[in-house]
Amino acid sequence: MHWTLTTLTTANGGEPEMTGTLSVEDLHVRFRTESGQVHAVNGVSFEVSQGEIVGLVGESGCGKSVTARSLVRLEDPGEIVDGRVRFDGRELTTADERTLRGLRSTELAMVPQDPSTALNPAYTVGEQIAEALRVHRSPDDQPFFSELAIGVSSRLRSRALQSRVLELLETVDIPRPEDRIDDYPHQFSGGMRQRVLLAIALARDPSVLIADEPTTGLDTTTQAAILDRLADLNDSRDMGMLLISHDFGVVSELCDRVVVMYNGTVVERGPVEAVRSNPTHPYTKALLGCLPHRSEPQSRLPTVGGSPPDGSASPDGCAFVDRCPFATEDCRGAAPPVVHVADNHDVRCGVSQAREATLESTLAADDDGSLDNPAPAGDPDARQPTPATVVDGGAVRTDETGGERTGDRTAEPTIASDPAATAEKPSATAGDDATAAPTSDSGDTSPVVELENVHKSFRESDALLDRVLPFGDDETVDAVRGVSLELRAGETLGLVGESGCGKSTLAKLVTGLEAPTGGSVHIRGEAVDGVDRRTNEQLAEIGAVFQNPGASLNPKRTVGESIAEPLFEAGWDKQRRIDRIETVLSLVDLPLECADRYPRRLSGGQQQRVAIARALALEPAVLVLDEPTAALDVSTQATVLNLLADLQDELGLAYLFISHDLDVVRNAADRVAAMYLGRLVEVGPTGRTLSKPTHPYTQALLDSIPGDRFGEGSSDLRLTGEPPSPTDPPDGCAFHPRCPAATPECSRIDPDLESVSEGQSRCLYAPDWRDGAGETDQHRVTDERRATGEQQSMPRSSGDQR
Amino acid sequence: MSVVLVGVSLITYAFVFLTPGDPAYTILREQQQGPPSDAQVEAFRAEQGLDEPFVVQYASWLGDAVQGDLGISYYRSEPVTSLLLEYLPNTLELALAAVAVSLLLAIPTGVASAVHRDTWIDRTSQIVALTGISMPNFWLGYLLILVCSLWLGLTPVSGAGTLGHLVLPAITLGTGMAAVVTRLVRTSMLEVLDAEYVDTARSKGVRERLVVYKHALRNALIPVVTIVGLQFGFILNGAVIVEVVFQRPGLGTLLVDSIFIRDYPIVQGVVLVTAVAFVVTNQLVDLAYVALDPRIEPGGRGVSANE
Amino acid sequence: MSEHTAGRSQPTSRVSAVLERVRRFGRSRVGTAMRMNGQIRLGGGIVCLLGLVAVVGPFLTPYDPAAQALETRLQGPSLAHPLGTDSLGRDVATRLVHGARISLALAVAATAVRVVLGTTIGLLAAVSGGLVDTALMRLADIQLAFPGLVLALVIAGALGPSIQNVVIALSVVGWATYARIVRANALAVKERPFVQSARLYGTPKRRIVRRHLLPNVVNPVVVLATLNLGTVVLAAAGLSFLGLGAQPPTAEWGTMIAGGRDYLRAAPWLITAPGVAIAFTVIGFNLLGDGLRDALDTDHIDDGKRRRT
Repeated sequence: MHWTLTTLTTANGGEPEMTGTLSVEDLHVRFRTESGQVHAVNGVSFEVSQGEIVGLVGESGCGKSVTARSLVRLEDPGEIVDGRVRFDGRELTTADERTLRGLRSTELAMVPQDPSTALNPAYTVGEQIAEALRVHRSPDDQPFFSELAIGVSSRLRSRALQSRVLELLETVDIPRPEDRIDDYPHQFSGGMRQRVLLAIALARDPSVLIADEPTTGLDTTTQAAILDRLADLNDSRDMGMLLISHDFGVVSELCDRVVVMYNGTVVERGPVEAVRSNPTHPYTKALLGCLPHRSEPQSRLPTVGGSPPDGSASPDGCAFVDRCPFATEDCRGAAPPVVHVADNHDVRCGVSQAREATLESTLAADDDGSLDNPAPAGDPDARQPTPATVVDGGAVRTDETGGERTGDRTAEPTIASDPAATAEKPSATAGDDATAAPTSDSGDTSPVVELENVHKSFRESDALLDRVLPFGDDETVDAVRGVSLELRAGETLGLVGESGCGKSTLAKLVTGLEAPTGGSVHIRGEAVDGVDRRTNEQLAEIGAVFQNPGASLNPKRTVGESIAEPLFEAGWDKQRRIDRIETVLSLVDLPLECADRYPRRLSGGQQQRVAIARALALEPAVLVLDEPTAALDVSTQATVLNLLADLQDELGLAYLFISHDLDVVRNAADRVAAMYLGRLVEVGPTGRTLSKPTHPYTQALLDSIPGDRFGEGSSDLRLTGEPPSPTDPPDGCAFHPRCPAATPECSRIDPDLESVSEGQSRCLYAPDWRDGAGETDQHRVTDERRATGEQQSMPRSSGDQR
Repeated sequence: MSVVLVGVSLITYAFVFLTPGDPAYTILREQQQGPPSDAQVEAFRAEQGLDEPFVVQYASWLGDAVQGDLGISYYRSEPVTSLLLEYLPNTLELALAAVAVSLLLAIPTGVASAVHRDTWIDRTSQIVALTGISMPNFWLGYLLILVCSLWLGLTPVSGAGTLGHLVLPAITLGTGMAAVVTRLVRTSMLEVLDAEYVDTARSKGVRERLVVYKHALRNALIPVVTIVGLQFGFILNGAVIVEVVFQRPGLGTLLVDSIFIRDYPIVQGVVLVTAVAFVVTNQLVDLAYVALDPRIEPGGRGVSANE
Repeated sequence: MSEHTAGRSQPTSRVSAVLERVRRFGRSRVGTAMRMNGQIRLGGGIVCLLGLVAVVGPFLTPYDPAAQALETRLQGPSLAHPLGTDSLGRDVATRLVHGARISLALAVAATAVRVVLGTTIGLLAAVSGGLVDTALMRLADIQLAFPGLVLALVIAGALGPSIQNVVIALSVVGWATYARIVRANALAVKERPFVQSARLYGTPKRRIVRRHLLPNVVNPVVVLATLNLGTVVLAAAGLSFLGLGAQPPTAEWGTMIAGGRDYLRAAPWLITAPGVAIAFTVIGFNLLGDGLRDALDTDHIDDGKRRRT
């Protein structure tokens, strides 16, 4: 095979005398399912040398996790049908159980994917680490009954082991390890569990550490801290590391080399900088192109056409052929050759045109052609250099005027796609004289939704007595504490913050799923309560889209039935319902046939479109979007974000856009609000807030975005620890215990949200904290660069079409 | 808990009034095998307090019951409490033996079945377990009597007292429960063996046998313990029938006999004792739960009122 | 409901609406799984066979199940009496066929009452919340605090031995399991985003229950009910065996075993035939239930705590 040959001629080769090298050659892994065989891995080759960090990147289902598990021979229920896995010259694919135990306990450590399920809930973390130590010491001598007995007592008996366990807990930055050693996994947060898993891996003092999505599902702040820790460990222990991730940012932050997988094959590999700056395989280009942070704020995102293969058949030709605009007949027929691009940089693509094409040109139109929308499709230049299906790859929305587009936007007459339907809309807008298109009322700058000093607290205890009796010492959790916000027609307000900061509760207060315990929510100037007390008109004003598209549709009802529900409740007759379903389906670019399908027959992206269609059914003025793309792959995310942008242009919607992903918010939002412990700590226009934040918390969130800080040293503002419990917020500024710029004042004075340069900030030192210490100058440089659209950090910006 | 116990006692007491018609009349007719006179009925009512309002009757019965006085049997003229104490040990003995039989059979079989999923071991044990839960235990009891006692002459046919008397009833009762528990252990183990922490243990280099028994079984037992607790109810149900089959003097035979002759104080006594025993067992199960599953706070999973 | 269907293919009549549902079901994942699942086929086959026997069988048997013929008592299996005769000379095979009707009817009746009662109470508790929820669940706890058969025994005994009273007794003791499962599932579904969405556009509670909760809690109920049919058959036979159910001379399987126990050595077929019949029936329901559980993907049918009959 070509690939094997290249393996031997590139990199540091497979010489057996290289100690601590893990090498994979032409690995094939298969799964048997009821509906036939799934070829999860089809000939993957790479190696990880001592002291090196290799990243394995790809979208969900590309076989990267199976590959990782095969390395330690935990591929079951899959089976390795071909290829070799070697460590230090030892062959693992044919090794017996005893050899494998030896290798696992001393050389190859894997940190599994999901920290919430990877620790045994029945044993203390101390015992789980100690077990790894015991096994490491004597892998062949594991006394059955004494090991069983150890589980019965919850404390560690052995002093020597205990001190070693404490040391390991310290190594992975668990605060107060002596207090935590006898705690159970459920008493730890996700980030802390990930650290414990890391400690279990380190207990074996491994030569190679395999980390499978080590930070997925964690807050970016926690993710940043764990990635830092991994980098330190790599430095200090000279350990080889294989980092598996779907997130190119994570990989480029940490890795020396990167391996890109698509449908079970390696399509490209090379030094991380080379692949990032000069992606050569069309798939790599597509993957990088879809990332929101690559694009201008509020621009359309490039997308990849087609859908990923399901691995049901072993592909003869190139796996990417169906989605590749450069595909030739040859690509279909035979395996593509491996082409050497530069030092250590290889790509599996035989079409030179494809390899040399610009990043944007590999990206397909995002199916938005059917939208009857004059606004974004423009920019004919974008089509110029591309041989195939490229449309509006880098096109900017026509109304794009930097961070200030709200004003322009509302002045634009908004043309609804279906004037008839608009006219039929129930007179929802009591305050508006014009019935035709409420959002086109450009003179009206009064907010659609307004929150005034809104509070929401939950009782901790649900016990009967506490519910029935007025007394009792049940604690209350203040999820939202005095938030005031306005949302105007046509604008997108991005709401960011770590998990548990109250942003989802805030969304529920706006939608009415929760009623505030203090303050008030106004819709078009009228104070409203929870959904049960809202009028039909008020209900129609607000639509909601949730994070998990699969769960937001009733599996027992067809798409059409789901979309019809709000119309039915609003009293629309049957014919109007059917017409409206057609209209909204075409608004979200779904074929009409979808109406008769059940949700499970749709992809995640399609399900999310249906959820958006249903939210739009009653022609709301506001959409509350709670992490609408968090569960989607990057390429799908891009199409959904584009769709949302188009719908906003077309219908003049206001969005409350909640996301933990600052890159997504940067792309989608006009204004950003950062939330911490139930309060807004900063509000301001996106451009300014995400480049020159006026609150240290916002800066910390920015600094935790992986990938952007590559090569800038470690002087960033990193958050340590995790947010304090909302049951007991700290005195003074809530952020002060974690704030690097905190002064003694901060622990006493609880600052107000005050106006600072174009926005508001809740920091005592809002105007000048960033200029205070000399070391923060570096941030400034970073931030200025960010402010200019990151062109400098992306050497390949020549490909941008603007 | 207390709510449940009060409810249980209320229902237990109210059974008397389920009987169609006047309970006093029915009881006396049953006793005398003929229609009683009005005077007899009146006298019986006064004696048993049946002429008072229901609430008063119930309160006085409950008050006595709390002090250990469950009334006097209509027929045997003996305090119900002492009758219960006389018959209880035989039933307890049977129940414990049956639980022991079932756990000894079920746990290894269930684990083996799950570990060797879809092999002949798994299929055989599943078929046996399916047959086990589908067989009426009174039928199984007679088959065992037929084979072991009548044909082979290994064990006595009926009665209680010796170990020989205990073997067949315990097997009859225990295998039925074993079948249920085997299936449960298997399901639970299959789920746990899929869990990521099992792979974490494997990736540490832990021996497969320890992976199965230390890491997987410990967690798989958590739901099993609950069901075993609930199976205590199954045991009590089964004990009634098995005792009748093997003619063991126990609470079951006592209950069935008393139901037929409408000896209500005994019926109430037996029902109350079994129900309370059942509630208490479930409380104990919850304690075991807390011990097995560190995620559950003590007191957080009460059977009932404190939930 | 079907008038609510959107899109091209509007069913024009009730019949075609039903056909459409069937067609959709066939295409659905459940339908596919059902066709493939061997347990369902085997269990379903057994149940259908029994159903056929119960409905048609009594018309085909050559003997009267109650007709005594003392001259031919306690005969072993022969051509005239394939399963022998009992102590009163009645044909065991005939009585077995007639017993199938009683057992199945009883199982279906008691299970149906359990399902309706339990589902209603469970949904009511889940939707109402607060004190109603607490009160209903306490009631369920109280029911569950009695070992099922003991309670049924006492109820049947107090009401007097008869088949109807067995149905009543077995219904009263079985509903709480359904109530708990339905409530647990409904509470979980209630938190799902699609129900939240329904609240957002002002769907009244009644309709949320009918459209969103009920269809999504129906699977575990179906599975439990199927498995329950088996246990009801067992329990009813047990009650009859003890003399509290069907009364002689009614041909009921439990009663037949009770009648055969005195002739254990002389005529072992007397208990064997009805025993096998009971086991066969229960295996059929259990296979069907297990198969449905796999097909409907409701592994977690219990609410983690109480599974009992």
